[in-house]
Amino acid sequence: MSSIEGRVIPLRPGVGQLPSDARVSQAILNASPDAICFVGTSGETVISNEKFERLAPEIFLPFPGGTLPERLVALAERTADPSAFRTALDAVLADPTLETETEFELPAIGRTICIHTAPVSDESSFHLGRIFGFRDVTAEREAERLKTELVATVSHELRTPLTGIIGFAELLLNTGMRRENDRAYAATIYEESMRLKALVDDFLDVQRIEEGGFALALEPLDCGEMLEQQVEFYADKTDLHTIELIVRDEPLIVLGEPARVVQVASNLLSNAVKYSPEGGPITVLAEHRGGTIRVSVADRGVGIPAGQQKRVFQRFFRVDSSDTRKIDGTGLGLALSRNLIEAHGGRMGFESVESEGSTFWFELPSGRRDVVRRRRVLVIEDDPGAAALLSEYLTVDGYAVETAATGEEGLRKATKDPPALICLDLGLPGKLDGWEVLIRLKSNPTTAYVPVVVCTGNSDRQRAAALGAADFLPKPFSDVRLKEAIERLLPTGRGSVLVIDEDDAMRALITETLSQHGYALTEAASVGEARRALAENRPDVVVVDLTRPELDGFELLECLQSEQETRRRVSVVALTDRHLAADERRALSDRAVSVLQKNEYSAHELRRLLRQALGDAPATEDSDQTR
Amino acid sequence: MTATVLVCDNETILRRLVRATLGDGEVRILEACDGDEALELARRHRPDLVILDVMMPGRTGLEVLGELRRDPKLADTRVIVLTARAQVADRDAALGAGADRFLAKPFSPGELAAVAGELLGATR
Repeated sequence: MSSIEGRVIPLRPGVGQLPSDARVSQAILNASPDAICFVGTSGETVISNEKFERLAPEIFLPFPGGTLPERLVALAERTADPSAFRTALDAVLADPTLETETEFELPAIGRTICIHTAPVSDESSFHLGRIFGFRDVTAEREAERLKTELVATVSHELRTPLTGIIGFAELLLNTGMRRENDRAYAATIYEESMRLKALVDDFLDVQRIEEGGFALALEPLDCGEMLEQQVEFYADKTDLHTIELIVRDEPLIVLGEPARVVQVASNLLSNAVKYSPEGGPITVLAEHRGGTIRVSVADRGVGIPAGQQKRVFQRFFRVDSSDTRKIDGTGLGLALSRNLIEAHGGRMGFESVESEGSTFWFELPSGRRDVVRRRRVLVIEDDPGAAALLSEYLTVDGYAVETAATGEEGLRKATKDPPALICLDLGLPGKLDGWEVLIRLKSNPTTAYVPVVVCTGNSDRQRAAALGAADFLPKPFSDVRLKEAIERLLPTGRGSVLVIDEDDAMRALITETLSQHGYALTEAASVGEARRALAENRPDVVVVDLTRPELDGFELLECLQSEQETRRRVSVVALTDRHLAADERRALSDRAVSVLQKNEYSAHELRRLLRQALGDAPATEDSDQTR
Repeated sequence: MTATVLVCDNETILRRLVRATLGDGEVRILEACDGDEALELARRHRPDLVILDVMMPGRTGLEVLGELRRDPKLADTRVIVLTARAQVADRDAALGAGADRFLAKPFSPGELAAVAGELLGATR
């Protein structure tokens, strides 16, 4: 039997199947999730893994020369319960055969560690030493603590309205003679039941959103109109407050689920009223900000003490100050509102000064660009006759036409609000000729994807194509030739759809769902086919199944939307069977991708998303009952 | 002499329920929304009975109870503790802090009336 003092010995391999190599032992230990240290009979470290070497300096004080048992003795002082730790450690040190587990908190570094220790013997039961495995269980314990706290809070919040309901019902049953009270009691029972219902609904919503399984039915929604109704509703309910609505830009179209956006706006308004019990002005402001619509609600109420501000969006958190204790509420409204806004790919925040008031705001992605994108054509043409002719052809086909007589004007208009298509005359007067305009359009990321049809007497087709023109229309052009070009670049009708799915059955199901609804359908079973179809058919919408393991969905999306030959952004409807996190949803919504959870797949839902992606006005239910 | 009952709960509905249960001209009811208000009213009006909710923002009901018991003028006040947490440990904590009775929410108004009547009868 060899001595184990002072050198690393290999752990004995089982029945000679493993190479007897210290490096193998070391590698095995390193692969363990625990921080492991094996000490010999005199307490010296024989072998330890990388995780232990990382953990040791974090939990032990610098203690030169100490063996692990000595360092553990010294550690007792730093634990939350030194005597319990010492008792457990003494038992281990006194009994070489004891296998045990002990958990301790280190308040100084805010961590909870679990140590498992067991004796190590060879096959002839010769005692070699003791193994210690350390595991950081801080996160697990914190999650358990939050869960317990949540159960206690929910139980308290549910019992309060329940007490009112049971109590007043009993009074009503037992004191039937006091008729004058009966109505009031019944009204109270009703109110408390509604409060209980709202609480349960809110709580379940918060839970569902936090778990990620929350589908939103997005559609374009005019925020200005919605706010007008909400402001009117709350203004009617209060005499103490004056509620002012300022809508800076019109229209303010967001993509959202109307009932949910209303719920958030209503929550902010109701809070503004509740938390300014003395009354005063409340200002609701709605405006464009970047690619988003921002709505803010400002009150001059009690405000939020600085020390409590970071907890405002926590579930069941309620501002606690002498001013707020008389105000009822569940503490779920803001948590739910923020979750809802984030599920829409938006943001929510606030500014507040105690005793001066609060401003809560949210931002939702603007839905405007998507709605108008397909419909506007910009004609950059200096000859009024040619411009009028083009405008007429296009108007007849149902496009909104905007004209610009110079290159500068055209670039300005195109950058400010990118149109669906640009007809560009190459022979423009002034400093910026058509070629220069084309180059600038294609080098600006805002306009690079907008297809440009070059109209000119000049027949330099190759040069135009090299500079990124999507089509070339020699003058004099016919309306048929123009229509052909536009139809290819901006397909009309119900729109063209490319279905990408490697699974034949799924692809057939999708095309079957869409086939009788007037869509021009193309199918692709691989990334290569998809690319070819994108270049040749220029679909309006791509339906892509992200659940196929062979395809990295996000990479494919990247490829779909940056593809040079498509020259424009393609709307995407993505099928997935994964619950998406809020940031994934946001990333997708930033790229005009709508998501259809596979477990919620229905023909109706797919067609609804398609119509939305095509920028059609949200269709009424009956328009979809044709099947 | 009309007895005075002080009820302290941050929830309006609970104060209304206590008033509806005990009120009706037989007792005078005082309402407090939080612990500070309860102590102030207790010192001013010397109620015969205090009904205290445990879980309140600011001072908890048990802290208020402790203050009452430490104040020589109020130490003998009868106290019923109401709590939404019906665990044995909560009951023990309430009784340990000096509560005369303990009722878990949701409670029966009949039971509250009986307990309050018993405690008020004992003071007279």
